[in-house]
Amino acid sequence: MPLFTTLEKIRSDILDKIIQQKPLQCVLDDVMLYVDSAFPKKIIGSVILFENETLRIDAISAPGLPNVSLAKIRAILTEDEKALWEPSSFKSDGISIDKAQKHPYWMLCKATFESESLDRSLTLSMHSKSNQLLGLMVIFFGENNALGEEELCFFKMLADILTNTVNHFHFVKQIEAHEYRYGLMFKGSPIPMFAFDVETLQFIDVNQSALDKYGYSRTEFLEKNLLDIRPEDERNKLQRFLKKESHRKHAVMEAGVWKHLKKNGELIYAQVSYQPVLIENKLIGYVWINDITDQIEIQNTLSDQQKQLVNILDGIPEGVFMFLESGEIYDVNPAGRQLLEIEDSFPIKNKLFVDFIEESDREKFLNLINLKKHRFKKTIEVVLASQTGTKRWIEIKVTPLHLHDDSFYLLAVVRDLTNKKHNMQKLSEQNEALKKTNQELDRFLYSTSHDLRSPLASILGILKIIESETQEPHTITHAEMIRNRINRLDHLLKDILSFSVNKRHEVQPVCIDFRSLIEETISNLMHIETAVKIRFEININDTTQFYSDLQRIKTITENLIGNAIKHHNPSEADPFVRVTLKTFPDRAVLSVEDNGMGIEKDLQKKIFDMFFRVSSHTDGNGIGLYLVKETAKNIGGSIKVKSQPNEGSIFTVTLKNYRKHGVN
Amino acid sequence: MVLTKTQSILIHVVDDVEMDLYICNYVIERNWERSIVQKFTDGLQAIDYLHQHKGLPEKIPDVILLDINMPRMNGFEFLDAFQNFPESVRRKCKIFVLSSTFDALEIKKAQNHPCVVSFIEKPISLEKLEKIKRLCNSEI
Repeated sequence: MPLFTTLEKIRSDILDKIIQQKPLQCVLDDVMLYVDSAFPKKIIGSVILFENETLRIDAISAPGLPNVSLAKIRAILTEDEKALWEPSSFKSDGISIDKAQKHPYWMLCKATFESESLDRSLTLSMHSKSNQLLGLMVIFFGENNALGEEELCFFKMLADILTNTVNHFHFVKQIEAHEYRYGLMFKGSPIPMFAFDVETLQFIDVNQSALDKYGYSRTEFLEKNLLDIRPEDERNKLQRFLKKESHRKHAVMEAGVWKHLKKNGELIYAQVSYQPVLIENKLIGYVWINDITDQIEIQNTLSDQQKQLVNILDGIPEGVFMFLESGEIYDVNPAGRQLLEIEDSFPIKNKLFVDFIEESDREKFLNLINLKKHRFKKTIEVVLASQTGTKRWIEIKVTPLHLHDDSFYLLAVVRDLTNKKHNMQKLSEQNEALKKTNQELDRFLYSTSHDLRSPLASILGILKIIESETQEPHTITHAEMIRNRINRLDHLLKDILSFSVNKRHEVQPVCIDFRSLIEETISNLMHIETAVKIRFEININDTTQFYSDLQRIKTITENLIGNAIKHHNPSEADPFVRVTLKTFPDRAVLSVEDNGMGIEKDLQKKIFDMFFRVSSHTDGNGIGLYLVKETAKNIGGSIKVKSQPNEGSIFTVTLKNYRKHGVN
Repeated sequence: MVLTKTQSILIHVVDDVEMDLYICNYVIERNWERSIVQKFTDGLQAIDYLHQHKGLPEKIPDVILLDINMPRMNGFEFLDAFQNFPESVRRKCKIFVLSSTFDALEIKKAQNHPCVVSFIEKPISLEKLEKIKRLCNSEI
């Protein structure tokens, strides 16, 4: 058989075996056996394959040497030789043929073949496409049977065939590894992934993460197509997308954000990465999903808030402006335009706000927006002149606004104060007028009571002269009658004046000697004719010093004791007035008790009102108790009454002690 | 200085109310022996008199009964002007403020004035006149 035909036979055998998916070792052994038997001269063929980049033997095929095995070779190696063939000794340069020939295997082979008079050998190397040494093919032959040209050519061609075969097996191995890795990547990936047929849109694979995400079982999912996991409104969009040619290019592309439906009907926002891959003439689309629902929702919330803000800004009565640092208007809400009386259509951007402010107030505004000086919120009031010249009082509050992109604005809230100012002005005018009226009234009270008192004193003077000179009993009685009326009038004037004084004069605290004050008060009241019938009881405990306004205390005691005298019960056998006083560090309690006429329960509240009189028969002007209440209030006190008709009354006044701290 | 029986007592009454001048005059004439009453209707008149007679000790009054509320020059303005008179004048005149006021502040102000002997509430009466006499004697 010509050598060429032998080569053809070998090639087709190899192909057969590859198709039958036989292992490489088997293919090599068969080739070597066939060569050994088919070659006309006596030879023994052998192939040794190395692991990638090392001289570790990956496979040996030498069927003519049945007893040679890797284990056997390793067993006969010394420790030193083993170390020599460790992968570390062949790291960088690859393996030279020389070095490979010194492999203990060859030494052993040589020894064996020499004994069979096959002492010559032909060594041919096999390289990968990247020129890496894959292994050697060695043909042993005898000295007498030297190989001719044609035979050498044959072995070279055989070596090429074997090289291709080994390369093929390596390639297959690589693909298998890739497939394994891809499977792991796809199946185990935490990223939801699926694959679909680009023509039919049917799903053909899906990973666990995607099943978890969409809530389907694997079977359920693979029965669906790409459209089934979309809401109605997105299906057209998807079909338009798939019609475009660009998506068929074999590159990963970002397909944008799509709405996907989960099994439970929930919508998710999926950011889709997409890669079409041609596998067995089928275009398979691989899809990676990134669920960005949360982000989208945050964005939606934000934009909702923005809308709300815009609504608020449109609706509020305050003008809201955004200024640049220069004071140029950047933006404004409708109320702000209204303040400036600038129509919606009229451009307002870049106008200087300060131009709308009255000249005298401009400095104020410029200071306000110079936030280097004022780092915090500040408010000013200025006069604004609108586009049409209307003047308004406004209040401007400015807040610095730093945006996340480092831009800087001033946010100004502008309030129209014109009405408020008007009202305030009116109010203060009215207040002023009221104050003046009050003062005038007070002044009138004061001078009137004064002016009335003066003629009264004159009349009393003349009356005294008459009384001291007449012996006529009737005249004496008449003079007495005049005196009573005058005394009453005099008392009224005194009350009116006290009232005026109480309002006008500052409180001047002095140490109060209650005993002499009360005794003096009683002796001053003895001119009341019934006073002589009354038994006075005075209980004073003022060991704690008490400070207050003497004149006002006098007003209070005079009125309370005077009332008790005037309202005594004429049918009572033992009419009394009991004055009790006790001082404390913070207050004094004064009570004036009588067993007189008493006051009806429902009148008790009214007795402190101005001009209230219990009955027209009683001798009083209706000012006394009002004056007591007001005076007590004026010096930090209060008054209470307890009374039973026909049994008597107790008036209790609590007064503030003005004693300064540290003064005993 | 002790008043002798032969010496008369010069009393100035300064008041814008004619009736009050009359009452004072009436009460003093009947109850104060050897008294001579001179009447002035406001502070300015009384001050003018003192100016004119400050060099004549016998013309300077022993007692001045001074009202507060008067036109042109009131009692307090009179007292302020009086303070500028030479000591001889100031020492001789015993000033009593005689007023119908019951304003405690005015009363206090009158009582505390260095030139005032005492505050007497109107109307004048025999008892009050006795008090004035008593105060004059203890002072003089």
